[in-house]
Amino acid sequence: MDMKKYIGKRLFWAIISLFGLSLFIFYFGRIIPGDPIEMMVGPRTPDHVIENLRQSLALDRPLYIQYFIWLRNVFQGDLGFSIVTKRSVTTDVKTYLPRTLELITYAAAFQIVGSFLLGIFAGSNINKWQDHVIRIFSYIGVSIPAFVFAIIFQLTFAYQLGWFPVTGALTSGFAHPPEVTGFLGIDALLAGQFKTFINFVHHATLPAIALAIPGTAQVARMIRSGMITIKQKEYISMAKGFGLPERTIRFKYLLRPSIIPGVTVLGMQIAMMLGNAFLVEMVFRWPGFSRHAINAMLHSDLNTIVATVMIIGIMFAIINLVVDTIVAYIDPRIRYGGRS
Amino acid sequence: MADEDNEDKKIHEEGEEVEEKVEEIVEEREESPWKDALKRRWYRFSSNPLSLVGLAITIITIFLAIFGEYIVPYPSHGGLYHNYDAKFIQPFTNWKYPLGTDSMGRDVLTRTILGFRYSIRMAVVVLSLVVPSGVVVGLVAGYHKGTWIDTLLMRISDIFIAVPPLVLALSITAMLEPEPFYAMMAVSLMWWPWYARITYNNVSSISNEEFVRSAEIMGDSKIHIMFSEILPNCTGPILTKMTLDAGWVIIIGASLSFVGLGAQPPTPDLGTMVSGGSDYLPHHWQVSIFPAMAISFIILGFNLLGDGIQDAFEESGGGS
Repeated sequence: MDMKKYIGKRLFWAIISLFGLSLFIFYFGRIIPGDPIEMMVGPRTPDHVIENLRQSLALDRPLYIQYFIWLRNVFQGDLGFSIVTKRSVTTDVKTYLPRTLELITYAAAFQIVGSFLLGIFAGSNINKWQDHVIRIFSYIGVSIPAFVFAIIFQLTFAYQLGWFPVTGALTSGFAHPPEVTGFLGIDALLAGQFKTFINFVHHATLPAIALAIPGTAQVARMIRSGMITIKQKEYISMAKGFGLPERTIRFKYLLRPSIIPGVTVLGMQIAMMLGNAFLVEMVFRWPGFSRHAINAMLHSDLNTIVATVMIIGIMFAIINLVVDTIVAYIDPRIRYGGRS
Repeated sequence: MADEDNEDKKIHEEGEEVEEKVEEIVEEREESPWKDALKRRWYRFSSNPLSLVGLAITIITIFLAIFGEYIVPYPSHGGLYHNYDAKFIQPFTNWKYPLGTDSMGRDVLTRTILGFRYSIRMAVVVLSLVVPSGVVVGLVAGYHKGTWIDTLLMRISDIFIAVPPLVLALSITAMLEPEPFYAMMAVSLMWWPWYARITYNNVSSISNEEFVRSAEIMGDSKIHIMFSEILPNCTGPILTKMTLDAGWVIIIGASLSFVGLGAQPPTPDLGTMVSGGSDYLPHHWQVSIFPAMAISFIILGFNLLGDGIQDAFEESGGGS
């Protein structure tokens, strides 16, 4: 099986999973007690209005037909109406999602650089002081939830030391750049507003670090233990016995296989940020999609909840696909399948 | 000559004695192979001080979770009690309230200790639901790798892995009711596939081992092979994951209550307290920081313990 076929297969199953997910979340949203119409309208709405609304939203049809109608609308870019913002969910997504993606990209950059540096450094200095310091850091990193980091960072670096802004994405007074891509950072650069860009990055730094740390610690640990495991393999001793150059052993035989679990977990951690962003955005009042979604959840806004699950699911699938590709590239065993 | 004969006899006798002793030991081990294995694992576990620290933290955590309400100074502060005269006492200033008080004058120390129970309950309920179900699914799918059983089971579990557990748990809880019970059910629904997956991966590599092949050739039943030949070889990773997961489940549970979809105030749930207290930052930091530290303390314990267990089950020990 070559790379293309392997990735094609993964893509196929990712799409099947997403359909499964949509089926699950749609049915789950419909079978729970509570009439969606009653949530949308006030208590004194006349019965015929309710009936009309029910018919126009096809809520009087069988569930599977409702599902297909919903699916058709989704493919046409219609995610329904939000009872919280009183506008279409698609508009909300367009407004809030770019802000979350920017935050996650920024955090992912911290995570990739941080985890590889720390992991390889610790794995190369096993049981020396550098290793112990990194281990303590990684224990702390793994054990403290992202929202606790967020609060501690906010308290220390924003409130007490004043190095970073406490909340928000831009200082009030900074005008939003003209919308081109929807991404604030990119739009600011395109418009040549470097001050706005710097201000934006300054606001994003604390939430991004808070978001990145738990995963960084986890991945660094995986890489470290990967290196320890591989170092004990017989083929490493054999390579040494053959007198292969230290460099070749280090990079080709030791590092490459030992980062595989790390890369898998790294991808998973970056994807998990989509979840943790929910908490970090709340602490820093970051005007992103996650904070908006939480607000919708607290108000039982069904359409927004379903849309959130599906959008996060799609992004999750994309990240996983990229990671699978990278891992298959590093580890030929996966490409060629296990048994046989 | 006689001397040499004597010496030979002596050596022979000594040899027999040693043999007898060895036999005794072997018999003893055969009688209690579990005890012996456990002893070795405990030795490996206890050789790392960090594992012992993890064990100690976990024991303290479980103790506080069970007996917390009997040892706290003000049991009534776990509920709707209020005393506005004593509100927002700073920590370490008043010996009556060592960690200060919150917006309603309730003792932060009392409420933090009471919070342990809710975190542990979350972990216990969720893990006891997800581990057996996930392991069985993974075992069956992994042993039938490449068949339609594998495809069906693992694809269904993929659906729940298609979204970060926190997001799906939040959404499901939001659709139901913001209550701890529904939060636990939602987290469980999201979590079993991870056990299916880890078991699956282990099983599918173990299935290639010689001893499984020999059992197959000997004509052992599938159930016997799955549960008696393969499963015991997966206990290490599963047990490790369980301990580490206890920490993760507690994080997810605390996160759910942090956003307002888990336990509701005045329940002394740690996540709820962190969230409620964050409104009073930076001046009254004690209200949210101490419960936050408690969450981290609990999770640290499970992580250290999990690593220790991992070391104990790994044959070569590793360096951690």
